[in-house]
Order: sequence, then C-alpha cells, then structure tokens
Amino acid sequence: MADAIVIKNLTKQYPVPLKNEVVNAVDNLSLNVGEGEIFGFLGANGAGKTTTIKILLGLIFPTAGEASVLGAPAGDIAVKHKVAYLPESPYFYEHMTAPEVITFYAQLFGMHREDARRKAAELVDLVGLGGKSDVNKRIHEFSKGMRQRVGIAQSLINDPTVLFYDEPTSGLDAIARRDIRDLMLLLKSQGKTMFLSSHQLEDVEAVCHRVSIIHKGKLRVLGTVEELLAGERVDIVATGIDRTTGDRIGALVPGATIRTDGTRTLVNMASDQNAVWAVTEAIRAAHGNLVAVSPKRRTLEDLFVEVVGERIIIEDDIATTEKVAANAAGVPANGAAGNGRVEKSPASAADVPGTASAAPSASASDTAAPSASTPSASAPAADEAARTKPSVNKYKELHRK
Amino acid sequence: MSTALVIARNTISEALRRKILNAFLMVGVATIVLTFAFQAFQPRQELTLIKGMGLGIISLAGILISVILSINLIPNEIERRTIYTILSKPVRRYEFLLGKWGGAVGTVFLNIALMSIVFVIAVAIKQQIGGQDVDAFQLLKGALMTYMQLFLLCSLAIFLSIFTTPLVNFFLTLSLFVIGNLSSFTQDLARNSQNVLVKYFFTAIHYLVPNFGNFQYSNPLLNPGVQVQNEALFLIQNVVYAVVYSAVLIILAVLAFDRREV
Repeated sequence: MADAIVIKNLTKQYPVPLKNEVVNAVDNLSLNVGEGEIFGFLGANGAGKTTTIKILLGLIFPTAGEASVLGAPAGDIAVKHKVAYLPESPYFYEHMTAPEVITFYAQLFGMHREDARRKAAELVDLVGLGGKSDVNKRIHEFSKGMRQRVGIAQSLINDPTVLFYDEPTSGLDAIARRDIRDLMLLLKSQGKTMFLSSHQLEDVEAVCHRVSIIHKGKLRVLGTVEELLAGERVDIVATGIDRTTGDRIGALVPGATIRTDGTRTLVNMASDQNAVWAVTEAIRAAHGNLVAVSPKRRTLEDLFVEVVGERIIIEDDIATTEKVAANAAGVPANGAAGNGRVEKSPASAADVPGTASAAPSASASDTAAPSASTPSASAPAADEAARTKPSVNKYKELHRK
Repeated sequence: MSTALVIARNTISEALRRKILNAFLMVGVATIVLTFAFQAFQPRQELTLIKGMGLGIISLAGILISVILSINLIPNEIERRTIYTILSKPVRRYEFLLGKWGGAVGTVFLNIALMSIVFVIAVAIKQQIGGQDVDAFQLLKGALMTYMQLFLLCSLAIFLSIFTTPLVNFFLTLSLFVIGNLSSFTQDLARNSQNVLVKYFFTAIHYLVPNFGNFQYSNPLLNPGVQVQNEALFLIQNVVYAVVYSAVLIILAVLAFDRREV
C-alpha cells in the first residue's frame, strides 16, 4: 500500500511574544498514512493536531521537517484537486445560502456555474439541507450543526481521494453524528484516505484503521486499533472482605487496581485465568461474597486518558487528582504488540511517584464496552454498507453518476 | 485566472450586502439629490455648487467605502476562517489576493458608477431647466478621475492589510491619502529645504507615497473658463499611473502574502 500522507520529522515552532522563547506546536512528528486508510489523529486541545493538518494543506509552513500528500509537497495545487478539508467549526460567507456556498466552492475547482449549481443541489440534498426552508436560509441563520453539514458538503465536491476532517462531528446532535459517522464508513468502504482528527473517540474507534495520539506536539501512540486496544481486563466485584484481604489480593496480582467503595470491593486486573482464579479463591477464603466477574473491553478512551489525561480518582470518598500513568498491563509498550507503538509521556509515570503500577482505579468503572450500535473497527464492509442512512445512499448514487 | 474572477464576484456580492457600505452609498446618493434644494443662488452659481458638492460627495463616500472595504478584506477572511476552506481548494494565493482586490475595485466601481449616474442626471436636469448645454461627458471624466484615485487607494489599503491590523491600516491609509493629496506641497518642501536630511525625507515621501493629488479634475468642471492643456494626455497619464502603481502594490502584496501563515 503506497503512502498517501508522509510526515517526516515535522516541527512547527511559534515565538512567544515579548520573550526570547519558542513553543513547539508540533515536535519532530513522523508518521505515514497509507492510501485507502482511515487514520485517527487524536490529542487533547492544543496538542498540535490542527497545526499538523494546516501544514499538510499548505496553510502554514513547517519550521523543520517535511510533509507530503499523494507524493507531492504539502500545499501543492495539483494535489488540492484530490484533497478535501473540513475545518473544525467551519465558517462560510454569512450572506449566502447553502447552495450558493457550495456553488462557490465548486467553481473554485473550475466547474462551470451551471454544473456547480447542479452539484451543489445534489450535495445540499445529501447532507440533509435540501428542504425548502433550509435551501433559502442564509448561513447566518444556520445552527452549528447545519454549518457542519455545509462543511461536509463542501468537502465532497471534488470526490476527493484524501480527506482531512478536523472534528467532523463537533456540535452535532446524536442523529446527525450518526449520519456523519455512517458517511465516513461509506467513504472508508470506497477506499478513500482520511486523516481524521476527532474528540469523539467512539467514532474514531469505529471508523479508523490506525490511530495515533499526539501530546504537546509529540507522537505518543501509533498503531492499529486492534493492537492498541489489545489486552482485555477483568472486573471482579466482591462484598464482605476487609482491607487486609484487599492487600493480599494486591500482593497476589501485581498491576491490579483495588478500589473499596463502602462494602463493595472492585478489583480491576489483566485478563489472566490463573490470576482470576487466585483472586476468587482469596475472596472465598476470606468468607467474602463474589458478586461478579466481568470482562471489560479496553476502549480508545481508556488509552487516550492514560496517555494524555488527568482524571479524578475517588477512593473512600477522598478525591485526589493525579496524572494517570500509562497502564503497563494494558498498553502494548514500545512496539511489543505488532506495529503498535506507545511512547510514554515523561509527564506521566515518571512525574508521579507510585503511579506507574497503580492503574487508575476509576478506569474500570468508566470504561463500559461499546454499545451494540457501535460497530467494531474490523466490521466487514457489508455491515457498514447495511448501516448507511438514506443520505449516504444518495452519496453512493451521486458518485455512481 | 477564472478562480480569481469567481472570488472577485463573490467579494462584490458580499460587499454589496454590507450595511455600512450601503449606508455610505445611500447617503451619497441622497445628498446629491438634495442639492436640488439649493435655490437661493443664481442659476450659474447654483450649478457650480451642485457640481462641486456632487463631486465632493462622490469622492468622500467613495473614500470611506474604499478604505473600509479594503482594509477588512484579507483580515476578515483570516479572522472568520473562511480562508481555510478556500486555500485548501486548488486556489493559488495570488489568485485569492487578486480576487479580493478585483472584488474591492469592482465594488467601488459599482458604487461610483451609481453615484455618478445620479450626479450626471441631477446636473443635466438643472442645465436643461436653466437652458444651458448639458456637459455630461465632462462630468463623467471627473467621475473617472475620482474612480482611478479610489482604485489606487484600494490597492494601497489591500497592500497594507497584509502587514497591519484593520485599525492601524485605517489610519495609515487615510494618512497616506492625505499626504498623497499634498504631493505638490511635499515636493516644494523637498526643493526648498536647506537641510539635507529633510530634503531627502520629503523627496522620498513625494516619490513613494502615491500622488493622489494628480487626480483632481474639479477645477475645469466648476470653472468653464479653465481648460486642461492636452486633456486626453492628462487623463491617460493618470489612468496609467493608477494602474501601474496599483500593479506594483499588488505584486508586493502577493509576494508578502505567499509566505504568510493563515
């Protein structure tokens, strides 16, 4: 598979006003995205995601390093004919209607006005703005969700090969979000390359082949969704055991997280049959009641929080904030799992003594497995196609024409 | 180039919907029409007053429209982030800038044309009533000179907008417009100064700042006795001057904008 996007040692620095300092928005970033790949590009706010996308589009220029799209340097005009960009919270000319906006953008691709109008009508209809009342509304009358739909429509004008989507589902209600996610799944099934930056981790997990997480401009995690989410965990819930038993379990299973909440004790640990057996035996020996043993699927949210997050851990009604270390039991470390690559943040385990082995106690309870409606990343294309909504079917028809 | 035309057309349609610009246009048109109210003068004096006021109003409204429109064109695109979706399409930066500039001078042209038509009609009616010859063509020459002055002003404001904020640009452009209108004065200061530094300073100002004073054409319009020697050459020279000076400014703006981060 050839690479559609290549980023080599990319660095973007901004000077700090009134100080002789620079801040690294992107710091020596290197990654490749293959043709036909849906690539999730994650990071907290200010991590450098949008800066990277802007460099790839030639809107801003790198301080060092290289970036290329479809074999040409970032910003190449010929390549822009095959590229689409949906910015976060897209803005359009407020005085225009949605069809006028799309017509304008279509003309920028060299389409004649009549062809552009026809295309605009189709795309506006596709994104659900083809109703009589919406067609005549000016953009300044649009809600955020409607603007986002216009943004999606303008990104499909040229039937692009590579799409850069920056928070495509931002500001959308649940239904609209699902529509957009279905559209992304369809684009995936059509072999489009997508560079997707999103905070909707469920969507990323459902759509992306590979995922990267950047933090403070540096690449922290890179791998396929399967690799990164490998390592199932188990929750064991028991009642009627004391703290001594809890300590004994802790000694039996290094890496387990034990959380006591009133009379209930929750043990979150790696899914190891012998270890699970040993813990249940210890509970029985202490005359405790085994309430539940349930496997927990790791989610992208867990990984994201582990890599970049801060969270509040509540234990025995005492709230403390601490940085969450990379979970040694669950995260495949330094390429241990296939191509998956995890680089631990220096601000995680090292900064907070004692947290490296103490996985966040809240994580197990927070990380419910994805709901049945969330398709897995490896779901077959047929399943994806079956889930498409009428608007997506319209898109299919549109490009069949 | 068709991309620049698409952007120019869009810029015009957006500008024509801007309330503040329309307000200036309406006030301009209304004031020209109101000049009919002057009836306390002799017919010839009245006509001179109407012509003088009309040209002044067209010029003043045109200056405000040109400056307010041009200083905001590029910064607004960046601030509202509409530029992202445009430059991510196959649009070269120079096409974008040319489109914006074309939209600005096009909008100013439409505004000046509308005010000029009202002005010429108003004067023609007065001349008909007073039994005088209608000199519509002469009036249009005056309007053309006003437009070329504003054409250059738009180019200057767009050039400066690449480097400055709209507020700074507003005062800078207006200051340069005033200085440019006093070009004969700065030339005299350069000639007559004994101090070498002052001499070079005013010489530099005289040659660098666009000579907006060149475009004055009100004298022959207001005083029928005054004739411009070789009028055709005067008009052509001014048109060429405005076009060449604008071209230089826009080329410099393109070069600067090409490496500007948006």
